[in-house]
Amino acid sequence: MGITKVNVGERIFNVFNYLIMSLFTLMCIYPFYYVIIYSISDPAEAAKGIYFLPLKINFSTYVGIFSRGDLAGAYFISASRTVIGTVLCVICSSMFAYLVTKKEMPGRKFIYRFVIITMYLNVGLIPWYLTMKAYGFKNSYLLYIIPGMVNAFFMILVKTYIEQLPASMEESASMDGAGFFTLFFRIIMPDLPQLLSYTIHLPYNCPR
Amino acid sequence: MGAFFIRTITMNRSVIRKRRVGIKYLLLALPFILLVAAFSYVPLFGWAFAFFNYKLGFKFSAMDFVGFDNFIKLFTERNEILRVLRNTLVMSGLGILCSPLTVIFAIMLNEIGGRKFKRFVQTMTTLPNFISWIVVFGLAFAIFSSSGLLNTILSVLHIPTSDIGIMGNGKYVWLFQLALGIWKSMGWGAIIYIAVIAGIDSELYDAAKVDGTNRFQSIIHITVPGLIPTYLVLLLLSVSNLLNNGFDQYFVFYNSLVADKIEVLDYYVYKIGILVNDYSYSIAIGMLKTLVSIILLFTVNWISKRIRGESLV
Repeated sequence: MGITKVNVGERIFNVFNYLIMSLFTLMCIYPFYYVIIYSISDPAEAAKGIYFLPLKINFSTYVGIFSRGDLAGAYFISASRTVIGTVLCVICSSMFAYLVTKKEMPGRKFIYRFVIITMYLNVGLIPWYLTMKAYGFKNSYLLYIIPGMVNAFFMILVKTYIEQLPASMEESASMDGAGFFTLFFRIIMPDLPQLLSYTIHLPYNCPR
Repeated sequence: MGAFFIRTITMNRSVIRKRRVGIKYLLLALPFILLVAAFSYVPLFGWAFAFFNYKLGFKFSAMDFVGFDNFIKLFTERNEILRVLRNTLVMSGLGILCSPLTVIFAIMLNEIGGRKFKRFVQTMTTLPNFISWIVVFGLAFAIFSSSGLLNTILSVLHIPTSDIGIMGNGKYVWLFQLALGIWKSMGWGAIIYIAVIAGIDSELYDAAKVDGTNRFQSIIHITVPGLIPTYLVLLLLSVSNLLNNGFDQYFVFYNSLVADKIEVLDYYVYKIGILVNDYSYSIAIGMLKTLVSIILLFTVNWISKRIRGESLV
């Protein structure tokens, strides 16, 4: 009897759980779906009300967008800045983190704190704009890449991660004659992808 | 004597070698240090402009020194500042109040039986996190505006609708922005908690089952205590970010109807700087905000040290 009670209660909970999850997932997906079907419907028909299916499929809006010359350029810049920016950010931040884990480097505690404080130093829009103008970045593509090259948060993640790796890995590699760069690119970097899966949103954080 | 000499010679050699390697690393790190200094510390010199009457395009020597005038202005205009501060604190506070929702979502997602459905839900709910607020505004406009989906449905059901729609309604601004914020970040935030739950030792659950607990009790007594350390760390971090609401969200949803309630500190700094063109005052506000944020951070860090014995930074 006790088992039946638990089963009924658990079943109700399961049904409830599936319902709530489905509802929330729908809420996450539907806005996108709505916008997509709205965009391929005839504008006049859609204004009357459109819910699940597109009305009078009509690609005129898409034709209008693609016939604008500047769209391709904009997409290219967005895509390239994300890819290049993220790749550079990951390499630079993790190399810096790896250097900070090296106990032989003098002043590493100071450097580490130096970088962490920048996470909370928000200088404000105007000083940032003025500094970038002074550096000559005003209308430049590099503005998307260079300021974001060292991401303090990612550096902390990588440093803690490297410190958790067994020291024997590095020691055996350096005994086989690996220099710094070999050590970094062949041994530390390949272990990063699992860490990277948590930082895919870096493109939105790296460039200010 | 000879053995002593040999020992000191070899000791010195390895010390010298370590020093050399250390300096080599420092030289390698130098470009990165310069980068960080150039983009995070040099702009701080811009704070000097808060003490001058900054005029765009004029040389530095042509500007008159006004000392703490801008900071006194902060006090004389305190009604405005307090209003903006109120908006900022309310929105951050509401967000923090609703943070357990993410934990509950993660726990409930973990309880789902079907693995394919679970993965599907997890992927789909993280989707809103990746779109920028501008796109979110586009979606919200399509649905919530006066000619949008919501109003169309309501008019079909013959429920009276307002002409402005919810995005122009000052009364619901805080709740609406809170709901949007939750919708956008819940799926992504739950990832961390799901990872923590996956790391909880399954022997605990088996032992509990043997002791006769049902599912709910094992959730309350095993899962939740396992999540509390992570939750506390994230909570303390969000408290230290209390004044940093972000800018994008409030910029896109700004309109004159909701202006009173939606202006947060970052938006106000933008407004004073770019729209009103009072650059010095804007820098002064930004300075104060950063100082308060750093004080909050170290306070929270100290609290964490006292309560949990660990510091965050």
